[in-house]
Amino acid sequence: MTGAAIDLPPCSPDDWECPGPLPTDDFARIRRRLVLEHCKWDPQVADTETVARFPLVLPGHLLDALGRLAESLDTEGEAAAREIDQRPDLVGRLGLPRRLARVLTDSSRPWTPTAVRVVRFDFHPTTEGWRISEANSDVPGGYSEATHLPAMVAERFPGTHRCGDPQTAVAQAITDGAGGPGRAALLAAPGYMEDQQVVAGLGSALRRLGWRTCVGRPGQVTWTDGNAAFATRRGTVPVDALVRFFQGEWLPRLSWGREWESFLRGARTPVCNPGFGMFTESKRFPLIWDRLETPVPTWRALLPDTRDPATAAWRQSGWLLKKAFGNNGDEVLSRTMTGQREWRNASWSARLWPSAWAVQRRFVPLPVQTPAGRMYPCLGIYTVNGRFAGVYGRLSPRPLIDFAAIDVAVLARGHSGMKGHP
Amino acid sequence: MNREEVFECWAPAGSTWSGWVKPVLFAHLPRPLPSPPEIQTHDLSWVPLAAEHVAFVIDIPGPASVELGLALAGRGYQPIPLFNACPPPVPDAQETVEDPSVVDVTSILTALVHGCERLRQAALDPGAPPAFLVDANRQTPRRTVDVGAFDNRSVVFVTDFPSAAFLAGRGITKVILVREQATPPDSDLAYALGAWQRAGIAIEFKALSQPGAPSQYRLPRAGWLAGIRLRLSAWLTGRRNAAGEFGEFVPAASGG
Repeated sequence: MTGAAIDLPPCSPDDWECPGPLPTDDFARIRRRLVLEHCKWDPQVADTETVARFPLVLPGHLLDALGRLAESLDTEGEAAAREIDQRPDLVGRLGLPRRLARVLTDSSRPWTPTAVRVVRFDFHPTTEGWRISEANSDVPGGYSEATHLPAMVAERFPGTHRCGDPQTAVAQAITDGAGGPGRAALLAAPGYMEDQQVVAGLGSALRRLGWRTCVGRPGQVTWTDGNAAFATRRGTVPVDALVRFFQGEWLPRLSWGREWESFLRGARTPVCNPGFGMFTESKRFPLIWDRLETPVPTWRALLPDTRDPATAAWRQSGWLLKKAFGNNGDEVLSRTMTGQREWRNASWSARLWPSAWAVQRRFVPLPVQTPAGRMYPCLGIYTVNGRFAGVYGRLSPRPLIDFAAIDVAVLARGHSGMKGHP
Repeated sequence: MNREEVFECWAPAGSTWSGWVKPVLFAHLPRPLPSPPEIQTHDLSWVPLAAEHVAFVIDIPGPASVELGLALAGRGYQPIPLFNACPPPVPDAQETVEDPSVVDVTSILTALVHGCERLRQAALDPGAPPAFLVDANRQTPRRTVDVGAFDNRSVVFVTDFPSAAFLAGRGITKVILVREQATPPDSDLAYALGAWQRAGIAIEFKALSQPGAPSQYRLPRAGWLAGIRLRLSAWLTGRRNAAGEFGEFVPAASGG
């Protein structure tokens, strides 16, 4: 399924640097600013400090090259999504909940306008070269960690610089799309601080650009003639843009009625991200490539062999089991790295409901040497409205990026087209 | 005292347990705060000496949890605030609307700010054993969760606490759960404490409303039958919501 036509940049983590660690006092200051000023509210998960005390420094030209690949992935993905929109027969293969699929395929209503389209492609260095594990095209997070952490860490490492500012890039794109600042509602599920910190950070970025913001839950949005308003105790206020940090497959569970559909189709108020982002978010997206007219050569070059559990012999150790819609790595399972019970439960689920899962050939990630030992990096490359916007770095002590991975400041050394500006 | 100083007071550099302090409430400073709560006195005769390496989980209403944490600081324990909820937006100066939040965390923030001086005076040792402060009302709406409400209910996760191995590595093999009444904790906290108990940490229980020393506490083990009952109850009572965090098992967060 992989193609050879795409020119991939060199992949040699041995050449990358993780200088440091930062002196304790310096790191404490950075951590304090991150949690108090920049909405990083989960700096500790069980025994793990989730912010690395050292940066990951890569050549600027390499990050630029990954940025160009992400732009290609985005272009191809958007074109594919536009084709899928015209071919509802393909949507059934993506593992979407039935009520959601019905709305996404309802071409009698136009898509709700897009406030901004932001995607994060997760790149991994592997023994076969660069690979991506997924595209987060519904609710990508990590903006503060990709924006403020590298900015502060770069000050301590002369000759390095931050590569992009995805948080401001998203806010600026929303502003440009709206023709100037207005009032925005930012929505996340109650009880999930890791989601609320994302909307809080984006809200800050929007306010810096002159927006007025309300933060709440999707249930606070009401729709009149396609125009969104946000309900508060003071009454209902119209809004000019909505940031939905609430995964699409949860939307049908908001109510038995049809109000939630306006987040996707038929409304006038722009929403981030657009509903068609769900098509490429699905881990089963590769299963329809051969039936698309749209070419996706960059995806074919970068995404490992992905198959339907109903047809592949996936119970061997060389495969990962992935939920069609899963967001933080918890629903990516490996026979050798997942607990026996979890693997058994997921295996049964995949056998009983194969259309809700995909299986993907495992790659062998390459580690980098860090002050904390060998760790496996994942570089989340953002595109905002199709343009490279920044890098979200994570490191994992084991060759699987999940909730226990830690955030690391990714810095560029040498020439890069991205100097920290959106 | 500015925001950084307040945070530093509750999460002092060098303390073994500072990393676990939840920063979200502190991040919302500065903001207008109500008057500080009246200082309550506690009978702490049942509290073990800090040298005995016992940890606490204080699961009582937020401001009282802070207050008891401060009292325990006077006995050599490091209070660790685990309040993980946002306060409501600050209203415009001319607005006089009622607080729209479902859970009152502003009073917790007030207690934290006003407790700084007492905490400083305690001059705790960096290795002082921890007293984890939890708001017992974190999932209890004080008003109807209607469309205009600011829903800031929260959940305690296993990962909000150090592991049993980490506690044991610091010599802590016993944890005392403190509640106002002799009632079991909510299921989220019970689950977290259960993980400790299964890993060999002894759990004791102390109800503040009752005299006497803490007693051994056996947390109910959540079996598959209990899980089915919980799901069924959530479904039938209509408490299931989109995020699934109240009345249903907690799914993954949205962010990828």
